[in-house]
Amino acid sequence: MTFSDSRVVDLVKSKLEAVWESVSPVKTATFDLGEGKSVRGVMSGEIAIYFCRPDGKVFDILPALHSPHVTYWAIRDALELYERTGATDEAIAQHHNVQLIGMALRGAGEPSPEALKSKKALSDRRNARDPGDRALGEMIYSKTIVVLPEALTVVEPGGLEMFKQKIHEALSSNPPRTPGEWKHHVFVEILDQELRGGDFTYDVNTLAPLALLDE
Amino acid sequence: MDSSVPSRQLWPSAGACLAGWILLTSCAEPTALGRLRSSDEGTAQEAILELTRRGEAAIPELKALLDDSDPLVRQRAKTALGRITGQWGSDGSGILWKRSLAEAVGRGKPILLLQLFGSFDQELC
Repeated sequence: MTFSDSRVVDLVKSKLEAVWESVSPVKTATFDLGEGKSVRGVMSGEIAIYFCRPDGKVFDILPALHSPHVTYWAIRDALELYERTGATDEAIAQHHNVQLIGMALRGAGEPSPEALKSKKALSDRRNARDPGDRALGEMIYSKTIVVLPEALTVVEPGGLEMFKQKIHEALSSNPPRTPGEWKHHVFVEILDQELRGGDFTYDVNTLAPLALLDE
Repeated sequence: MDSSVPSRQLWPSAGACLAGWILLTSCAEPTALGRLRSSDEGTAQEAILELTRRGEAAIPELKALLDDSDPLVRQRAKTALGRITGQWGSDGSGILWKRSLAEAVGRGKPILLLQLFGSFDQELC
């Protein structure tokens, strides 16, 4: 939905070169219900948007999927930085350092009690004994659900400040890199997403539903 | 050539021309757009490939097929549009995505690069 929003589309088309690249195959889980019936779902929905200079070096990053409104303003902010400073190496480090200090002074970026609770629940799901149970847990909380005949992506609100703090830390203390060089840090360290996809099939009889009900 | 034959007789009549044209057009291969309606999936996939190769020039015709009464044709047009624009679900009027950073570098504009799981031009990415 974000990249079909007219404000986002107009801004990207007029000011930017747009590129996408896959970090991994999508991760899907199929639950065999027997008698030829099955349920299939997608488990990975995170994305990262990188803003790069024309030479391909990153000057800002928007981690995770956000609403069209948030994404639009992130693009506007990134363009403002680029047009004002040319996103030189020094300007990138200085900008993110100033942002980081500003966040610290406001007390922003610290995880809320709700975020900490979600993080613990996520960790518990990932540590579940049974892989099918784990996959089902991830599917339930995945940002992508299937609503026939179209796939609909659902965005969880919040999280931007927490992710941005980590982005400011990374971009203020490292020389400019390409998106490919940032990929592991952004997905694994910041978004807590394994860079591993593929199709997994589970026997529905192996699920441990009580663990899910507890959540 | 026999010089005694009047030159006029060397040319086919207008009627013969018309008959030839009708014969040729009736035997001609359907266009790639026409083949999107094929009941043979292989033929339809080849047509999608051909239209994808044609690139942006094929967008207006494919866009028109998004309103086709046949859901299979709509789906195939959508697939071709997704491959051309780089975005599944695009009607062709949105962003045209490049598939690698190398294609975008050095064009004088800043770059927006989206990293994701799966492929942005396929359903359920």
